[in-house]
Amino acid sequence: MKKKVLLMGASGSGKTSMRSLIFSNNPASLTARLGATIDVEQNHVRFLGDLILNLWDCGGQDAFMDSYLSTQQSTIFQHVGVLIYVFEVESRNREKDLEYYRNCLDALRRYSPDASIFLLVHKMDLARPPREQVLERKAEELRQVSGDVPVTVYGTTIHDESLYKAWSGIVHTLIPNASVLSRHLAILAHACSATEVILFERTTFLVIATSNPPAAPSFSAPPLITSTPSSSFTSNGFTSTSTSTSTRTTSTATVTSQHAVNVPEPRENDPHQLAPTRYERTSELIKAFKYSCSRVREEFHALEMELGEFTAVLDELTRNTYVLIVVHDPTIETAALRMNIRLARQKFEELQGDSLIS
Amino acid sequence: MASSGASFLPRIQSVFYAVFDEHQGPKIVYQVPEGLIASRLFSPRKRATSSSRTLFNFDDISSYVIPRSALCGRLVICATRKHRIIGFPVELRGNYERNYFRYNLCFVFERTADLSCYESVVRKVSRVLTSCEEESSFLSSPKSSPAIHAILEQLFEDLNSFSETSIPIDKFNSIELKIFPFYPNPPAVKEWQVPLALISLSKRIEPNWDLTMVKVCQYIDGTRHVARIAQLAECDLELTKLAMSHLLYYQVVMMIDIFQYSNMYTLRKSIQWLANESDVREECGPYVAKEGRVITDWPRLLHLYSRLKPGKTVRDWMIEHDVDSSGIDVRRLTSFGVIKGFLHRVHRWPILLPSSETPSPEKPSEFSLLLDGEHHTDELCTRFGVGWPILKQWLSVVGGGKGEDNFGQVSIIYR
Repeated sequence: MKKKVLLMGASGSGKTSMRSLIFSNNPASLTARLGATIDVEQNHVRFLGDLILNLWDCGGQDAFMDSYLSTQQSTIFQHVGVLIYVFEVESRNREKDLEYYRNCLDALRRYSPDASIFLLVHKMDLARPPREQVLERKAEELRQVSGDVPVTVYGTTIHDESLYKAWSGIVHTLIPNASVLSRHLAILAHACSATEVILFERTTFLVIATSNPPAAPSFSAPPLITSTPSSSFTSNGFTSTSTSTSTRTTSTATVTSQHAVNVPEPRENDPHQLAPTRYERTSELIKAFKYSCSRVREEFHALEMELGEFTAVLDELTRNTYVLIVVHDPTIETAALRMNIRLARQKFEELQGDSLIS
Repeated sequence: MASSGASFLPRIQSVFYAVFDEHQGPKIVYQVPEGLIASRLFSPRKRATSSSRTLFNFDDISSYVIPRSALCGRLVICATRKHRIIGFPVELRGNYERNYFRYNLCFVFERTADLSCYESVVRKVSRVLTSCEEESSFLSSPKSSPAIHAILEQLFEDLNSFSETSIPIDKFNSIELKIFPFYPNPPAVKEWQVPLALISLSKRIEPNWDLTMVKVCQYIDGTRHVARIAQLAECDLELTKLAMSHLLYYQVVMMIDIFQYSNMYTLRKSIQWLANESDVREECGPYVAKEGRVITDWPRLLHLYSRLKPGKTVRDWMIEHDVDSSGIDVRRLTSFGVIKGFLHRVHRWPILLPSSETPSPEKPSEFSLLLDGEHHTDELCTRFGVGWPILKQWLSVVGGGKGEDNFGQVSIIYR
């Protein structure tokens, strides 16, 4: 199954940087080296085995935009599964951006009326505080411009986890049986006495499904304002530990540092509540960890953590997914969790195969 | 060929300089003459009115003018319905807003133009401009980029008028160009070929010419073959052949065949249209008439031409049509046809078929080895220094035939 994903927006709004971050495992610092995209750059990303994302990264210069909207219109806007339109939060030419956006919406309505539309208000890190209000205002404006077309707005930046949240949301709409997967993850969670089980795609580490969907507001609830990054990931010690543990080819890297991970970030007022941004934070941290591994020429295989408050195992589930099991019961051994993952493997391979064929 | 007039170098219709603009995308910054190439981007309303004057729309070719990285640093030629655009897209990495600077300086010609002589010119212009950009940001800095317009103007004017130019750019760089017509390499020269001068070679000889060339040139008369010329000029055969290839390269001689009365000819298909060409009709009579004799008219000549057939020697044909009495130089008649390209020499290709009887060993064994159907009789005649009558006897002996067109085991292919 092939899904066409259009990535559009004004020149320099960050489309190619975003793509390189999510799909090419590059850190944000390297995106400064990218050049402008000439015309359309097409990428095929194998996602979950049978699902192939056909990513059209469309250069945003006026000449290109004009040709997308005129001579190339039918080529560009036909068979679109998802349109991702990127806006800069502080844009130089607001009016022109909106005009192009409006024209693209019209073309999309003509050629692919069923496409889902996501609007990313990008470069949020450059917005003047209070950022929540800036985003809310921008989102309101974009919704007005879109008229009766349903759109989903995310505030993003490549410098924190917000980008993963947006892309997980986007990818989620492309997976037909996410709810079935969730149900089975819940069963797995129950079997492990786990607090939560999360399924990630292998290359992008985007979240595919979780064991408790009601607790995952990012997919079902109306677009949320992402919280500003409370801490940057270089200061949380994660990257520093990663280098010391990944120097061997063993399939497991054990992180023992006390402040290593903030997956279930305990809130001061309620220690049992899970942080709402935990999924995308995990995606971002694992990607950073994978990148660190590649820097020392080691391949990332799996991750086990046994800390005072919780135990977590991240391991390969199927050929193209990883699963993270978080347990708060100190009596449960990681080996038991790994065994459960091994036992669940076949079931999930089947599920994945079924779902994508049907 | 047609509309560019007498000049054999194609005329530049337009020169333009395009860059990749960070916000607008590929765009033409300057073009000479102004306004010949339309762009939707800058005149969205005026398109309909101006389209009659313009050559083509830039948007249609912009992806080949400012292409992706894969095509940069290569000569790129693209064509529209009526025009051909040649350029050398460049992508420079450096301290630019989007890390790269992309530009292209393109020349526009008619679609039918042969651009081979401009390829090196386009490469050189781009090489010079690139080094200017690398040294002093000549192209990208807003201060100096208006100078590019002047460069375009001079390229357009000078190359079209003088086929050469010299444009100083800064203290260290200048564009020095001269357009040389591009000729392909000629085919290998064979010793049995007969060079025929297309211009008066003797008037062109200069004292600093190559020695062999000077010696060889005076023996080119349209009847002597290369080996004979080498002999008469007392030059090495290989050097003579080399001199001939030079003359061929500059297209001042052409190669025809050795004339003998035993030759055979046939008409080519091109006679269908060449028969009505005025220069063929008018030149033929005077060219083939013997001195002081009446000029034969074209219909009669055409009739004579049409009677030449494979298998019929020129001698048989002369007797049959009483050519001798009409005052026609038969050698000139056949060579005229070959030169104009409507007459084709039919060669004899002897081939010795294997037989149980041992062939008589009195002729050189080298000779019988050459009878494999891949060496025609002109080659054999030249090689052994004999005419067709003697060669015929030899073939008869080798093949064990009974003489007079019976060569026994030797068959002859006419082609």
